[in-house]
Amino acid sequence: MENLDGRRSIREYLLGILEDQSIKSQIEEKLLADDGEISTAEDELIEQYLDDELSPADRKHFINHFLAAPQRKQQFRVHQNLRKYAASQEPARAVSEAPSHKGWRRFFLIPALSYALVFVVVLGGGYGILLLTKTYPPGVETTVADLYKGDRPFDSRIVDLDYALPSTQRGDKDPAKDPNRDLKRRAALLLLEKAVRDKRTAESLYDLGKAYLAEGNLPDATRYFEEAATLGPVSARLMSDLGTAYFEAWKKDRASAKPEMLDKSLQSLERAIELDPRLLEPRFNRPLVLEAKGSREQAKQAWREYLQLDPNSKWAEEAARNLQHLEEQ
Amino acid sequence: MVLHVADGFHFPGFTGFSFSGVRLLKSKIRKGRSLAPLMTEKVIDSENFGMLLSWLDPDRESAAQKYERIRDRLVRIFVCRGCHEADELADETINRVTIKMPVIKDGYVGEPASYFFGVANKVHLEWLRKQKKTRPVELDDSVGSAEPDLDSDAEYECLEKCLKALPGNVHELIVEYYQGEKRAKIEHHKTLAEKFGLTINALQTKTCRIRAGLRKCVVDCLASG
Repeated sequence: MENLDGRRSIREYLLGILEDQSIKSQIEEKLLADDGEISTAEDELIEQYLDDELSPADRKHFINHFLAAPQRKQQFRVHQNLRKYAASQEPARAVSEAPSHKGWRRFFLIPALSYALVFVVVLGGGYGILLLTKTYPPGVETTVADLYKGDRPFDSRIVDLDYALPSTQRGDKDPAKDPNRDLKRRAALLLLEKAVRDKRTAESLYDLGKAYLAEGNLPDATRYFEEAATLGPVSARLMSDLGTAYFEAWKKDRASAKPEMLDKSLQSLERAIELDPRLLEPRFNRPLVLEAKGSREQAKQAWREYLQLDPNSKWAEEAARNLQHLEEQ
Repeated sequence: MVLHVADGFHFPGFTGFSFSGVRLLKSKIRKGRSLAPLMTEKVIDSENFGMLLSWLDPDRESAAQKYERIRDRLVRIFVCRGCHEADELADETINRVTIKMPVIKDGYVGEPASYFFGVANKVHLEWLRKQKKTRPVELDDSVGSAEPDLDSDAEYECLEKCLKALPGNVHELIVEYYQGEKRAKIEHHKTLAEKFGLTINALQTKTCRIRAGLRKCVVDCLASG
């Protein structure tokens, strides 16, 4: 193999897209003898992924093929942690960079003013001028739950969002009281996208996916959740919201949606319950999915289980109504 | 040394053992749940295993090292092929070669590694066939394989420990390698290579080796709790 072609072939091999069997064998013989060159290529790929330098197609191969084995995931996390450690040794720079990303709650604890500023920097021009006249009071803090307060895009529950009537029951009335809501949300999405570009971790991907889910953008929400689940470690919250995204995607297009979507939704929700039996959102969504699958008895039982854990809330009232509805059928 | 493989579901995946003192430090014996239909059903006895080691090298210490090296390489190949059960497949390959030892040891001419490679291809094909039968939905793979296997905080703490144990200049090299803005990375690496008297390629190779050492250190650290 020529050097350049050799490098390209190794890269394709590592991504699982190399077709030529004879080159594949040559590479694997190299692996058997001395894998120095291949290890370097692996490291390069991981770095490119973390720097967001892979094409969408390569990114997909990277996730589905390159990271398939637990050994590779561990190798990937060493790179991530090395970056984190190196950044911690650079105090001056670290302070000036984006806020450290330890969960969406902390991420969103940023003065709303900075949303506007980021928005100005990123979009510039007319948007910027518009925004300069609409800055927010310094010190105002918000969370994703605040940002989506009063909103409920689906019947199913998104983790940490407060109770609201589903949009299907509110008619055309816009529940939002904050006139700057859309602006804040767009700025928040930009910040979350930046966080993913800066550090592509399960956590940052989950946060971005969650914002998309709350926006009702199911394809992007699903994509980011799946990527987060692949990178791991998975959390109950991630699996719950992933299950919700699958379910809502199925509902949105029942005629053409694959029936497996419901199975995947149920599987994800049950995994969430297994990981955290006290988390209410997957407990609430599970009977909805079971009912959609036609498993009414199981759905009734799942509602009863939910009500045991959460007997006194608006969610509980809705759960009780759903249970009653099923019992009357 | 006695290596009991009574029901055909055990694998010879050891790490760190010495044959000279007939000492078995660690024997990983796994149950092949999801791989069950692939597993060899014959019993591997210590006699066959002894033959395997002699075939690899007449000196037991060297044989043990070669064994570990071949196993590591088989795991790497299965990992590269996108197998999430790479360890188990490598062990299955070794099992099959071990069972065949009475036939191979006198009849086969060539590098033992190449023989293992041939058997590994067969094991891989069988595994692929099995995957097609049992995993029809593509996206289930990504979710299903994302088990919460390791605590990332614990991994980070271990990495910190491992980094602190590195010699000063090695620590400096690897940390500086990861510092600097993304856009200026190429320039930064050039400067770093000059600082340490290396070419860019040598810098990449060196950092790759350091990372490999760190990975091993992190795994050991996590295993020791």
